[in-house]
Amino acid sequence: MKNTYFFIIIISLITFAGINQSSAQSGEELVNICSRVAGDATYLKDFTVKLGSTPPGQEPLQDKQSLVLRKNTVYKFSICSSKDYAGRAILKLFSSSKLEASNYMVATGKIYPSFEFTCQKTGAYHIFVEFEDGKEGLAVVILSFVKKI
Amino acid sequence: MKIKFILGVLIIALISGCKCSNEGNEDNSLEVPDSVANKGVYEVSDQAMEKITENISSPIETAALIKSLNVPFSKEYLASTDNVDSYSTSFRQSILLGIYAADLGYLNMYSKTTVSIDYLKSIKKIADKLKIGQFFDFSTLKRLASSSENIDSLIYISQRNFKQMDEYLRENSRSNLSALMIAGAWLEGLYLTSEVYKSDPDPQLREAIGEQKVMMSNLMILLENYRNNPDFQDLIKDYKRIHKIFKEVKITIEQGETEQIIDENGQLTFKQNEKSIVKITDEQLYKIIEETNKIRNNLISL
Repeated sequence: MKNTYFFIIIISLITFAGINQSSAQSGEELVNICSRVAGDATYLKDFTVKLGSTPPGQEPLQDKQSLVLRKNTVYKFSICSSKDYAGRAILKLFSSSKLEASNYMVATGKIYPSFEFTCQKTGAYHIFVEFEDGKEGLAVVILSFVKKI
Repeated sequence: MKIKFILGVLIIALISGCKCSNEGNEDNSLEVPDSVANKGVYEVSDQAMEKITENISSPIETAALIKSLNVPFSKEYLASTDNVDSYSTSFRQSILLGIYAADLGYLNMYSKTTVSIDYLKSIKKIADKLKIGQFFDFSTLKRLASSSENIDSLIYISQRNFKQMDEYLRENSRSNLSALMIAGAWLEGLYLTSEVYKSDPDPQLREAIGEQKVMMSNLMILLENYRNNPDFQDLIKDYKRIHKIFKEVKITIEQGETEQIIDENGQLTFKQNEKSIVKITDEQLYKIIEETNKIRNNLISL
């Protein structure tokens, strides 16, 4: 009888471990989901960002990535946050130290899933990603090409 | 009974243990021959190299620019796949992989799926030789290439596969091969733009060639990192010839403020009004075209 209980516990542990593994959203899965958010735009590259929660009273943790954007091009930035974490990703696009674009509207507090950027200056840009209120989060940013102008 | 029970638990534990280890490695733990692994200590960290790599734009953008100008497709611009088996060193194979990646982007942009199958086959062959073929999903790509309706998926999966190959090389002490792939793809992008410009001298193409000055500066940092590797020395010398001409090209900035627009569908858009202006003389342009042509043809010659 003792053995039967032990056997049931072992099987349950293995089964639950399996369920947990299959339901957790990986960065790779998120890229595939997010590529659909990008719609008709042509995929160029992606960035995966995973950050822990920020200790109270501190500036939210950020991840920085670099990329080159080209003149006369409309790009689309799609930002997808994993459902497994509380944090919703906020992206800020900078050229040198100048903020060019963001999916977060300070005035309304709205976070957009994507935005388009009409680039007129070829050069290096930086994207900073943080999670709303410094919560823990996992997100994918997809850069895609919309059109030449 | 007890023995049967213990055996049962052991079998389950073994099965679940095997499953976990496969998930972690995904059959990626291939042995790397000494000949293709990095040799020597380099000055720039892997993290910095990754950032530099991101600052070299994707060849698919070049193909998109060419197509947006309604320039007709020409197979003549592309590197031949006839002698793919003759490239025997990992150095040349990596450069060729980059060149084919750019050509595949051009083919896909024009929805030339029948021709692209040849390139997919060749890419798979080279990737296998470099032991990164496991990241190139040839069967899916071939299936997608059978219909021009799947072109978006074809571009997406092939771009992702190249990214995975590149990441794997960098994570496995073979970043030298990743650098060569990037150098090959960049050069082929410049070559395609130059060749199209010769037959269709559109100002946008002229500017697109001139603005490669920005990308080339990053590329040179990447290549210079391997200057102690004898294989790289001639390549760096060649690329320096183009870089020297690019240094004379002037890029100025016209100031302006970015506008924010939310359209009736709720789509958020930002329009940049700060502009870069490329000043490139005819002499500089033709020197770049000539050097690019020479170096590219030399790299693909047997």
